[in-house]
Amino acid sequence: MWLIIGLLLGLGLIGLVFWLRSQKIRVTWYEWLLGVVGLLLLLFSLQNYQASLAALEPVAPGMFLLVFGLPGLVLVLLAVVLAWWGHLRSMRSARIKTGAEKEPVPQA
Amino acid sequence: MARYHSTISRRQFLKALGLGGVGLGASALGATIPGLSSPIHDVDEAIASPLSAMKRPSWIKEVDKPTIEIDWSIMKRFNYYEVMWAGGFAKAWGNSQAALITSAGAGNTALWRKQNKPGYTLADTALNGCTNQAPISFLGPRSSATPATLGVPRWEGTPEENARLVRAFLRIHGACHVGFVELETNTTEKLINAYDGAKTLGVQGPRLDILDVDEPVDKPEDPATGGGGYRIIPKKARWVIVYSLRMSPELIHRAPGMISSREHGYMYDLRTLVQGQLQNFLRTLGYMGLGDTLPFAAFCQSTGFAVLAGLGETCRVMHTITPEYGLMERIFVVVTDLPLAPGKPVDFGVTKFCRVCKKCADYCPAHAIPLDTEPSWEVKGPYNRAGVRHWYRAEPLCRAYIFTAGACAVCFGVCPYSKVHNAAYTNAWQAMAATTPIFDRAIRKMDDFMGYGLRSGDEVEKFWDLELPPFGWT
Repeated sequence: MWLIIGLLLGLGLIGLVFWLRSQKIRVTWYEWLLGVVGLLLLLFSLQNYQASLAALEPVAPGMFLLVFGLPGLVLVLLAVVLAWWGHLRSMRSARIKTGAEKEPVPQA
Repeated sequence: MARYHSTISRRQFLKALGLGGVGLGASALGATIPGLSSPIHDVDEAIASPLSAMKRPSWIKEVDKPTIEIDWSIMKRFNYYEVMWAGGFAKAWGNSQAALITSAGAGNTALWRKQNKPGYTLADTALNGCTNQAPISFLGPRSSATPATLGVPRWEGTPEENARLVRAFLRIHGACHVGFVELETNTTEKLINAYDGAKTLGVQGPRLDILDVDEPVDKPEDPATGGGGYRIIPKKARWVIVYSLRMSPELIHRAPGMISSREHGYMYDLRTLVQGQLQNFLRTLGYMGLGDTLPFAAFCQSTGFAVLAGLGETCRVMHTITPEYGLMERIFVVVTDLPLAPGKPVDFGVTKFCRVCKKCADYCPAHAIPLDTEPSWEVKGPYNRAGVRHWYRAEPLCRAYIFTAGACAVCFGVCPYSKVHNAAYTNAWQAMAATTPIFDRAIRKMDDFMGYGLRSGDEVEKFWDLELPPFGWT
């Protein structure tokens, strides 16, 4: 199962890189770091969740999702949100540069 | 390799042992035994099979000395009569007090059975009471052929080949870990008791002599009680086969009560069969196999041998913790004159971890396990074997609780090592405990936080609804 998950993840990452390039979305190094750490935490929690269920542990599966899965999910979402905000910011500044949008004037 | 062996073909030899079906059995077991994907056809294949090897992660290190200190000059051969399971309990508490505790236990379990207390219901009682054992003896069943009756010379192999052969044999017959220790007069020989156990509780068992004779002798004075008299282990029987039988986590985690008690009982049941099979196997090879004479007794310090053979480390509970199954194994021993390559002790951080964890002591309902951080040379009574710097348990308290509650083994169930190590987390912390003891306290806290340990309340009786795999090995 983990071989298939690994293959899917590899293909998914390659696809993600191509998509980011096609959309001209720039991702900073710390956004990549957050995403990778979050993904690793998610995978870690999933493996432990599944193994603890197989071991018929009554409490541990849920705790793994809570302790490792939730922070993992938060980190992945944070990476996505930061990358998207960055992309929106860069698009806006590009529009301002081309005159398509006016720079906001601070109110007196 | 052929130059070491007898002239009989290995296939013929195996057939003569009645192991022709091993290939068939192995193919059936192949699905459940890791590393065995094809049937075993002959002795060479048995020796070379993954079943005869013990592959372990790199963080389990072989060491020259056990991780617990041993002073062989203090250690003396022990009298089994002193243990709580023989005469030690009445000696420690006094006859009247001991009888009172025993009857209180019978009353408690009867009451809890009527109240349907989880772990003590009629179904649980039936589970625990189903014990059925094969006859067990010092010399073995002696029902297999010998090289003389087969008209062939006895098996000759190098100690390494012999070790792999015995390990493969035992694993096929249900053993989990198998190791070997060589007996030396001033050290390891002291782990063999000076007196064996007797059939009747409170009777002094036969003396165990180690003498320069050719054949072993089994002469208890009174065959009815199994007391008095003597047994002789020939000096040429220099090798100890130490093996473990794996217990089910789901039963062990339901301590205290009849469900978890059954798992301990079952291991003793199973070993009566395995011991006899091993003794017969050795007999056909042309060697002696000297074993325990009672299902629940041991004629030697099996934990000591398990540690020296490298099966695992000893711990605060005074039993053996293996990296694979923690305390969820039972250790048994057979002495033989078949030369066997001895193993080496292992270090994977258990004795350091025990110094800070103390979970077994925290949960011990009898308060019999000491909370001291450092182990001690001081024994608590004649029931402890001196010569090991250990966390000596207050055995009379432990045994009294087992009597009053009908069963215990809470320490087996709560130990952080006693879990199925399939999860990446449990493997990671084991590796961490083996290499970086500074995190031991955090590992213990996390073990509590993650909810590992005993099943309690309604979870206990949910046992009967579980779809467990064979032997309950989740």
